[in-house]
Amino acid sequence: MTRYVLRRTAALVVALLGVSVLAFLLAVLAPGDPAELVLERSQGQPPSREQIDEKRHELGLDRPLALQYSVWLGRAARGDFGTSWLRGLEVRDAMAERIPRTVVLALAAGALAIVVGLPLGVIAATRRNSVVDHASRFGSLFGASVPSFVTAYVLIYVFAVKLKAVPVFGFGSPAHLILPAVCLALGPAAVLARLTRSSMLDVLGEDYIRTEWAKGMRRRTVLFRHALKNALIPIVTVIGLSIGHLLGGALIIEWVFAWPGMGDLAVSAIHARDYPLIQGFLLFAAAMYLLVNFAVDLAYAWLDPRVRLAAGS
Amino acid sequence: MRLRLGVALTSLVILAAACGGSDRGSSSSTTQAATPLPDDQQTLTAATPGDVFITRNKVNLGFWPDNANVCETLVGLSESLQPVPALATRWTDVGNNTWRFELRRNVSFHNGVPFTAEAVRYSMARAVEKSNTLNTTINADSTKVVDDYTVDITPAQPNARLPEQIVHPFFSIVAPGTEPADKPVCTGPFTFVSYSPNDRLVVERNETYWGQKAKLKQMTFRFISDPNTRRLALESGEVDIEWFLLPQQSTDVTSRPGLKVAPAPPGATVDLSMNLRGEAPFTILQNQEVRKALSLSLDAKALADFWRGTAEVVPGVSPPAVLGSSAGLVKGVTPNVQQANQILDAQGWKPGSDGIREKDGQKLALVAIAQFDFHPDALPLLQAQAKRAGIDLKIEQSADGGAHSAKLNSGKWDVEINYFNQNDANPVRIPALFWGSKTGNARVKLTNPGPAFDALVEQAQTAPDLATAQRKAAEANTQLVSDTYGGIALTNFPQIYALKSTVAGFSPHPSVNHQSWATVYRTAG
Repeated sequence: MTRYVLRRTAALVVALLGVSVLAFLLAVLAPGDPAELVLERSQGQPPSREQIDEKRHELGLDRPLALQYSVWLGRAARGDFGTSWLRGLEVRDAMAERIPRTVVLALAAGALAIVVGLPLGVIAATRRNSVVDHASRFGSLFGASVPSFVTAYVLIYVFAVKLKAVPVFGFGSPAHLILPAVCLALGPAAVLARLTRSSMLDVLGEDYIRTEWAKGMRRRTVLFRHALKNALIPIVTVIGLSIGHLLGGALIIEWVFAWPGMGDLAVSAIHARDYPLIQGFLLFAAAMYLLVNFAVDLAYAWLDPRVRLAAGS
Repeated sequence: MRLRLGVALTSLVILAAACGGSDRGSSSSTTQAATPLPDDQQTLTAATPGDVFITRNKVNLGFWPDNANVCETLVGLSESLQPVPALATRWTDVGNNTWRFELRRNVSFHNGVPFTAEAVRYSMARAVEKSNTLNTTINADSTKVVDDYTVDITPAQPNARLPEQIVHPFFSIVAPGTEPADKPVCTGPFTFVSYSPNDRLVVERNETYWGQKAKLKQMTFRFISDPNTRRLALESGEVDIEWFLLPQQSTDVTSRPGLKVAPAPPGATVDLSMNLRGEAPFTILQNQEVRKALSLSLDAKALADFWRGTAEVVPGVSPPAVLGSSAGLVKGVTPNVQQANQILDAQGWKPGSDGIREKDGQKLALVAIAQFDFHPDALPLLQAQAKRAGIDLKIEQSADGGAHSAKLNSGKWDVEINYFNQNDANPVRIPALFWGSKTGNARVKLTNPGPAFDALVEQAQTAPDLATAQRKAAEANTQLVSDTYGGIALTNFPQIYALKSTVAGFSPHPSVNHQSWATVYRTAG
């Protein structure tokens, strides 16, 4: 098990380094001079060539790329992503303010997806070809295929504009959380429901389940203690990936609902070519994704001894 | 089972009914009720596109780019884009490139400290420290206190346009020793209450204001980046007013009962700049006759109509109001496709089989780069208009401001489609900044129309009185658009507000950075 954990940790570090190179290069190689943009944004008018050159020097953009990267990586490793060019704030501080809001939204959406998707999948599998099964499959297809921003506008229109049941935008109260969490949960819930259904159907067709039915075991015991537990491995993977993705910031949904989390921060940073902030965000999002995947890998080993044995050999 | 199905079906019916309950097509009801609500209900919520104050660590909190009327400048900017007394009651040129400002008496800051010359010195030094000086060339030592109610300002370089430039909110007067990033303490009709980054800014009426007190008791600015969400928030009633409405949305808003739109008068103009010094193949517009043909082919009136009447045709690149009584002197271009075709025929550009002209095997195809936030719906219209003269405008809309600047600086373009804001009362601001060779902007090495234009700009910049400056600026506009055809002016850039019909007293300012909220109030509806 220790060897398995060490191997996964090494893979995590390598992946993070790869992301750091990409994050750095993506930002630097994008068209446009960030110095000029920073000046124009702050002055409200185009800067002169002298001002641009001065700003480039101040931001370190006139140094060789390799030097820029090594300096940046060394600081990033200490949690120092530099200062946001647009905001004049430490990137670390700007992100620290936003992360809790994104975590709240991600966890709410993740929990909702599990609470809805998992039971729906189980019910659909146990009542195969029933009306519930068909409705669940249709709903899953709909949830997985309709873009979240479309769902967001429809839900806002119906529940906020017409019914006035929830606020259109903003954050601060549980009511503000409802629509963005529902919109974010729809996709993962749909995928979970479909996956749970197919995984459960596979397991329910196994000989040992048939034997349990034949022995007259209680339905609940067969379904939840034996069938669902064995169907969980692919489901845990999807749950992990979904939560990792959500923790990285739900760009569109946060933007639509004016939810000031990491996604909203990333969109405004991209618009402004705020490289330090973009780089900080990319590393954060990647780290979240990789860490959750790491946890999922560990969960595999816990759920399925074959994984431990395979890793050991 | 039946019960669950019933619940699901009922939910679907409710959803469908709600979705189908659109007010689209219903008659417009924007009647204003005259009865103001009681004072304790005089609160207003405005939706603004994202938190615009976070730039540079809140250096301009409360006054730029959104202006919550917390702070004031020495000189104000009227709705006719003219300089008007604000915290200074009078200003005079006392020679040696020095302007003397006589200050308003009996004015106090929100913290109770009296407004005196020292506050002006402190605020101007702060503007310099924060790089908020624009093109005024003032420095840390420029402002001298003459007495408690008189200051002299001497820019580092000759600048006859200083009073018209310092109307910009960058030159807001703040209480000595205070920092707006922490808490803006100024003299305006509203006082700062709270600021929550990316969420809201709250201000309330200044009960001791020196002028006419604000009618609203409290005003809240909510930051909503997504234009669709702003629009839905207005319709739901969560906000009372929003801005940066797209022209295409204006018809929809006016068709909704209880909502109305208010387009602002021209404060920014839609202009095309020509690349006059590009390298091959971007050399076509170095021929003045081709520039003239392009100019004649574009119909500004059609663009204004396309924008649902939320824009007006402008003859020059400066908004007419800023030119004062000289506005009528600007000689614009009257669209004439027939004449455009004749000019191109005479220049040897012959129509090809696809309708696009050719000469010596070269197509009359122009790369037109459009600023990223230019209304994209209008671009095909311009393209179609140019095509009537056999000109192929190959429009490339930039992904963002950085990409646009990069393209612009590369010189690999023929025409730039953009809009330029008039944020002060300097009549020559736009011509000088975007076409004048002295500004040092990277773009002007390609767009500057030559020494005759520069001379007019210089004369406007150095004119001792505003009327002369306006006249010279009008001449510079003419030189640009109809003498050299170095630029094309079309319409103002639509700046549209959408608001509830129960909001009264709102008068949109041509410059969004100078919007006044003091006269706004809510009615019973």
